[in-house]
Amino acid sequence: MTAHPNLLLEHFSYTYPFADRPAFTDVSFELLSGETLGIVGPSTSGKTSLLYAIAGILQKHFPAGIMSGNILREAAKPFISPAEIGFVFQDQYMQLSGATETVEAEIAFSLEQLGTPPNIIRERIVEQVSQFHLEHLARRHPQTLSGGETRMLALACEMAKHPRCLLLDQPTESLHPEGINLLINALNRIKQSAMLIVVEHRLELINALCDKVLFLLNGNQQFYGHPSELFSSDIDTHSLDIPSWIDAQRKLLGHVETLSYRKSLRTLQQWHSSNLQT
Amino acid sequence: MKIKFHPIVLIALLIFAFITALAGEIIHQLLFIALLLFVSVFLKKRKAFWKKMATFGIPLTVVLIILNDVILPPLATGHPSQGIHYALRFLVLLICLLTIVHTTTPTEFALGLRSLRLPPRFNHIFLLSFEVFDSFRTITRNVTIAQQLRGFRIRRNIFNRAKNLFPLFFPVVFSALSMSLDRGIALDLKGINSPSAKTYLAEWKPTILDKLTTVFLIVCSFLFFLFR
Repeated sequence: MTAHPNLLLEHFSYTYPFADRPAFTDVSFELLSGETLGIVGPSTSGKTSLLYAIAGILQKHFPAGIMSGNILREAAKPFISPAEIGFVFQDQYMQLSGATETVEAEIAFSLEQLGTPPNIIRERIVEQVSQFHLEHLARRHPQTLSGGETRMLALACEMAKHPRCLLLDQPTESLHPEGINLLINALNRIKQSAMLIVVEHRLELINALCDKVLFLLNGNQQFYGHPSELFSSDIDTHSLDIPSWIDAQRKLLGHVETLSYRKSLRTLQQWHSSNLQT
Repeated sequence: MKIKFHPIVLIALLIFAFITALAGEIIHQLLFIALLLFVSVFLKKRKAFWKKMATFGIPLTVVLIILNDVILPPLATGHPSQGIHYALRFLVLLICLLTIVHTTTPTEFALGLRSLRLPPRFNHIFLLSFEVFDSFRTITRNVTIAQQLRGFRIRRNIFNRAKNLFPLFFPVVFSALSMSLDRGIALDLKGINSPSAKTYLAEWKPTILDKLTTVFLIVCSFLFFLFR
């Protein structure tokens, strides 16, 4: 029995109102619950817009845009409800509600809005505070945190919802290495039960975390498949920041292939010449 | 002593100020100013309050009086001193805003409003309007720092500051509005428009004193409006 995809995009395109070119065109992919998709590409390639479309933001807040193709979510819902979706914005300061006095209250904010019972909210606060090592910041005002600390708080707020679909727009931006490790651990935990879509420039993270990768260039889908296939494919990936170890591996493989090709050519030539002599 | 008013009191105060400034007589306006100046003595941030009054409020009041009574020709408003009439209106609104700004923070205000169990859309609009001011302040501060790093002497005097910041006014306003749109989307995704019944971990409900003060301010507004 084949599993039905929880998210399916078929030849999906979107053009913003008054824009002279589409934000992205002809994007197709499918994703199951428990799978992780990485979206990569250079700046202005339409990654964030695609994320907005998946979350239903474009359809709700920019309805005048031109949309074509299909986007099918679970149970054919037009929008994912806020209770089911977690969205971590590229700018972490956007994520703050501006209506709370402490980090703990900020984590509780969206849960309060969604009507989560108070005892569960308290459990989730404790869970997220310890998951992202925010214990020493729990009583601080959210607007006094540094960029990295605010990023951790933004991640904690969205994870506290236990979303079924988590969308992250460059989540490692302004995070220190320890923060990135905490994020990877948290994402690995949540990916068992949720669908993750990550827009990221760090291909190490994509390689470590994602089951599938989508490469966008100028709004066009260049590649969709397993991350290792992208790294070994002939697609022009100069616009991506390929990790140095993968690049070295590719060069080495290329060198080995060239060597073996030369060797087999030489063997063939030798065989051919010996055959001619006989 | 720190005076901490619930947002419901501050909203009543704002309504009272508008009625006094726009419909009240000079005696009403003087009474209002006297009342708030008395309250300002008990503010925790009274130094900041008086600094703003001294550097911004009083000079502008004097300019308004001179402009209307000395430079411009008199209008048929029926007031003996047109300048004092306008200056008092300005002072009423300014003192009210300074009192609000120095007795609460946007987050406290939002928390108080949330505790009133207002409709979510109303809360959303209030939060976003705070965000616009916050974004505006952040962008202006960043632009000022960037200009100083480029060699502009913005803080030298008020004319230099106006000359360098005026061309940036509209871009800054539009950026702030655009940022607020993004924040609106973020709040939407946090479920602020969710129809489900909200739960509250922390609440700030109005006390008896808050309720009495609100009633007093509304009654005063009504009386000032009736006996204008």
